[in-house]
Amino acid sequence: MYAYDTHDQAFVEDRAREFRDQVERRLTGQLSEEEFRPLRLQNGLYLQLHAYMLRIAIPYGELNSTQLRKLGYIADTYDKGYGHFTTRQNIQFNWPKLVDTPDILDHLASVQMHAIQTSGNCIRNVTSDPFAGVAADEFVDPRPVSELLRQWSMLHPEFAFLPRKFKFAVTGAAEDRAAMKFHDIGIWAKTDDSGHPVFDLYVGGGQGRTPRVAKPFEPAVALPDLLPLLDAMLRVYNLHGRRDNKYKARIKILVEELGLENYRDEVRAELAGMDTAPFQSAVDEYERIHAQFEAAQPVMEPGESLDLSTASASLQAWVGQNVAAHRVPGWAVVQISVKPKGGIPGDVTGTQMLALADLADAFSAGELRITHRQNVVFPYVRAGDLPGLFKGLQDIGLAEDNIGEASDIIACPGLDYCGLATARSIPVAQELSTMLRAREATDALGPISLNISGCINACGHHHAANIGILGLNKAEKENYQITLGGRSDENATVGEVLGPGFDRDQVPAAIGRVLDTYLSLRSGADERFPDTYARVGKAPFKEAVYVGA
Amino acid sequence: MANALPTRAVLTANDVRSGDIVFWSADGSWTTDINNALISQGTETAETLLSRGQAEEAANRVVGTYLVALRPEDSAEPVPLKLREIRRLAGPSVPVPAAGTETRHAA
Ligand code: SF4
Repeated sequence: MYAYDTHDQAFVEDRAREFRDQVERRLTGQLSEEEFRPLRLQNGLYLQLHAYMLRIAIPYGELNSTQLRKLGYIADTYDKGYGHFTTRQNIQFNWPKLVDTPDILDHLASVQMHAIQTSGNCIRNVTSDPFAGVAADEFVDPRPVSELLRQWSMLHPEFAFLPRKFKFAVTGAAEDRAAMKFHDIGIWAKTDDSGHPVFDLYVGGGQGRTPRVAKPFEPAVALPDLLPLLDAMLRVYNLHGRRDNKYKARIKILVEELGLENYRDEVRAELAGMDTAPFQSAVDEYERIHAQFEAAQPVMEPGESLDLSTASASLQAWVGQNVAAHRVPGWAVVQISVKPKGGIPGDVTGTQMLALADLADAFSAGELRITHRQNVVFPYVRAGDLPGLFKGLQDIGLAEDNIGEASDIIACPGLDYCGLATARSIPVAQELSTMLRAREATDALGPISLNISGCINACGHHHAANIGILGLNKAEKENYQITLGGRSDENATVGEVLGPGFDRDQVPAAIGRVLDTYLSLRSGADERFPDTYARVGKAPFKEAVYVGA
Repeated sequence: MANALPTRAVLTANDVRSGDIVFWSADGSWTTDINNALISQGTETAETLLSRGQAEEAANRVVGTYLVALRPEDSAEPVPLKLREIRRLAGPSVPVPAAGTETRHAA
């Protein structure tokens, strides 16, 4: 993976020192909360429902075992023994004390990590395909361009105070595993006829209260043209974005209000007048980063696949469900479910982090990824090592064989932690996961995405789910709205609201009826939920859920 | 326009250093136990509590002071009116382990 150069390292150390000074001034009263608030937010430190919360950046979801060990140490030393993987491939700690955060940032800097770009109206941590570099269906490794974007966007002086936060996602494979079209700008890396990387750009996607699928902006942008074009896209947004109304401030609204064609014209005009000389080194930098990623990959000699004929049923089930195709025969991309039956999506204890770090060293060349579905990926596993890894995961309660199934639920922290929430997500996820694991054992539901958000901000990606659940506050009582038919892959679609919401205790039964309807209407076992929904429409689901209730 | 002040309320905030949820108590200090909180009766004491909160913020002891409206009935235990405040007071739905404890996911 990418390793900091001396400039990167000095930068994060300086920032940690700066923050220590700022915290000291806050604690001695030289800085008021009003003065301090933007400073702490620029370092990922929020004040949430119960306490401070520190959100730590994991650029494009990639971690090494040393970093994960450090996160485990932080969880156990400075927090309450656990952390939460988010849909931005980041990690959050829910209980840090302000007095401890300078030490935490020092610890992070010592392993090339920080909490910058995890808050505020800046370009946020770039997300990407968790299978980057190893996916069997990959055209271009998306990490070099993701890293290039990280370097370009970090503390970009023009884009530190945008109208609103700004999110990029990059993918480079046939299947979009990064929900690219639900981002302000989505980048789909491919290759041209001569094998050079080119980038299809999409703009104006997003979730929240106005969910939108990003629109195609420009196909096949060559590498030398990429950063100048992105810079121009951001400049036009920065100039025209609605600073007067935060609900209309995202680029999706600007693109809609201006019209895609007009926005494109403005970007081209901006680009024509721009001095692009500062971007000339970007191609060399891309090559340098690319070479670094290549060099850091383990040597992967093709080998034999694993003979499972005599393996236990549990190992067979786990390999069948959680292991994805690797680009090198005889190797495996292992998806580790952080969604145990009845568990809390994305929560991992310090003990589990330390054990996962050891397993990554033993079985994945010391490297792992965090996915936007709040799971973990080991990218470099020899097929022959799968039984050993499975055993290690069983020992720490992370061997659930449910990747991609309905019980692999995305859930935001909701009203258990989040100051903006209108309802809880976690207990709903726990109840559903218990119910769904039982059904999955008998019903062969196939892949289904089920996502839960605790408010309209949609951090739990409910709009993008086959089955989405949105927690609302109805007369001071939790109420849950169901959406159906969304999907976050290359055929991204926003889910439709099924009808009136449900009390919490009614949600599992309602979801059960949605699944019954799907099973009875699908054309065959290989027709996926969103395809069935697109074919038959809302009516039969609505009838089953409301009339059949 | 400011919201109407609740007639029965407690003053809450977060401790600056630790982030802990705190309430203003009858003995003139911050407490983490809402049962020890000073309960305002009527808008006049609510106003007094709010200005106390502002002074405490200015003294950098706490951050984000506001009044939590309580159920009007005269029960011994203060019970918040709003869902958000009920959840804030109750803490996360799942037990939070102490640092370094075993896996939360184990059944
Ligand atoms: S969706 Fe709402 S409740 Fe959930 S984390 Fe985002 S802001 Fe908080």
